[in-house]
Amino acid sequence: MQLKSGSIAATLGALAAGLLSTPATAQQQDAAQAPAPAGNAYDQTASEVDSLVSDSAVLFYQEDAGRVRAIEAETGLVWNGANGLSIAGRFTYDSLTGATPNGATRANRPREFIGPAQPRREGERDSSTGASGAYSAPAGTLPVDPNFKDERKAVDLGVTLPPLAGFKLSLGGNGSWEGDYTSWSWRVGLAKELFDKNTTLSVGYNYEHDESKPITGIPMPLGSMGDRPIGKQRIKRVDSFVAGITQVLTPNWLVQLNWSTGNSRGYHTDPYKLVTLTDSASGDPFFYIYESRPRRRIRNSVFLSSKLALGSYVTDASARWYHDSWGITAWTFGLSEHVPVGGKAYVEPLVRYYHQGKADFFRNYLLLDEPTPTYVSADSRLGAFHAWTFGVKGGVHLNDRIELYGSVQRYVQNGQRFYANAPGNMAKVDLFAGSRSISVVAGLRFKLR
Amino acid sequence: MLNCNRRRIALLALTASTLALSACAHQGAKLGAAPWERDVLARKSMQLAKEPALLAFDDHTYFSKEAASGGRSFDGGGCGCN
Repeated sequence: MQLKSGSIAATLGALAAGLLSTPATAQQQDAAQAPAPAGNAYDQTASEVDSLVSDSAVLFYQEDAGRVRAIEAETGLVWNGANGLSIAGRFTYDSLTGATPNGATRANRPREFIGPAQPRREGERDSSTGASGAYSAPAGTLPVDPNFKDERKAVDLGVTLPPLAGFKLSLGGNGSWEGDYTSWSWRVGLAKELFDKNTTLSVGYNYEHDESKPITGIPMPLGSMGDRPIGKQRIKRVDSFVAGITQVLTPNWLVQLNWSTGNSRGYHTDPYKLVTLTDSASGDPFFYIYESRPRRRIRNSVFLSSKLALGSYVTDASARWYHDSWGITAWTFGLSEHVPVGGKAYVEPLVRYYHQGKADFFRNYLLLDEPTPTYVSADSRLGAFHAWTFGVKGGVHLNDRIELYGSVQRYVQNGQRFYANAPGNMAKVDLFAGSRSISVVAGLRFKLR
Repeated sequence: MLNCNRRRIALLALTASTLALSACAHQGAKLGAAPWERDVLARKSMQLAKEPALLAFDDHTYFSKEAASGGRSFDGGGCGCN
């Protein structure tokens, strides 16, 4: 994200610099056609040459029905030198609480859930993070682990070097620490402007190394709920590659096309997720086993984005196609409109539509008398659903140095809830476990220099 | 198989049209912007990632709730939320 954002920002910064360095004759020639002085603060140039800017924001995220609540705060500093050198640092802190679905289906009777068996030291609590201790789900309700609780701290550093022979090189690194998960990554990107800076080609590579350390240990894939864990931690490695082209079509229209691919190897299973074994005659849950996912996942996506300005209004439209080796295909469409308000503010209504098909190994439940597949997951995030986001973003310049910004968004997932071909009572049970949430962000940007 | 072919055709058309536009920009001189026409492109409101913090929050939320990721940038997540 930072790498690409940085390269785009640097590109447009260079475009602005190009404007400023245009020969006097050209500027005079163009003076007659020049637009009236900018009427809104967001019509001003984005060039941040020789500046030091701090940017801090807080996200409040709450899912419906008392599910996950997250508070995420981040603060960052960006220094842009006069020669194109840019250095950025960011620190993020997340706090997660609430209840999260454990993969089991609803049922018309209460159910009990237990974590993997393990010797406990005297006085030790059942859980401090993730799903682990014993808990129950009342009849008719979606089984959720009420003990979901975690904290995350993350650091990101990025550097864009001064252009050399027209090439811009960016380097960066990221580290993230949770109670049961650690991740670090490094990245490198290269961008080149062509054809009077109307075309920017960019490529980037990112390596990510993740360690999953569930508080309950690693459960045996497809093992019975409550079985002893088979280890303490597992590793995942991800190689990602992005290639993109940004093209100026007209003086007020810009498009971007990206292709990204990722090759992920290692532990992808969610150690806290269960799959329901169902009696094929009655349709009632009989028992639960731990899920199992393939050890490799290859992702591909194509992303197309367009920015079109009409006066001080800007229409932002984007589309993304995604497909991975687990059989999931997804489409995403986004549309927003930047609307200036007075001389110092803007609002931006937005809508986003997302649709995904299910993974090959996704099952709402398994039948007791069927052979257990090698891979199976009932995690709703791997099932078929569609989602709408409605929201509004906005910002206001309080003065030359201070800017406030924020957003309010409503996110709603929907999918098939009932299956007529399900056995017995399972046909009367709502099998959809998707989420609905509201998120509010408030941010402050301060130009120190 | 039919869906797969349609998907490939759609992707090819998308890529070809973008490359064609790009080529026109360089040859026809009607597409693109001259150096003195870049005031609008340089605006804050025209940045492709004008609010990086808001985009990062959005991406984190979607990464933890949906199977798809990447596109705008790399497809990793850097957290155990998915």
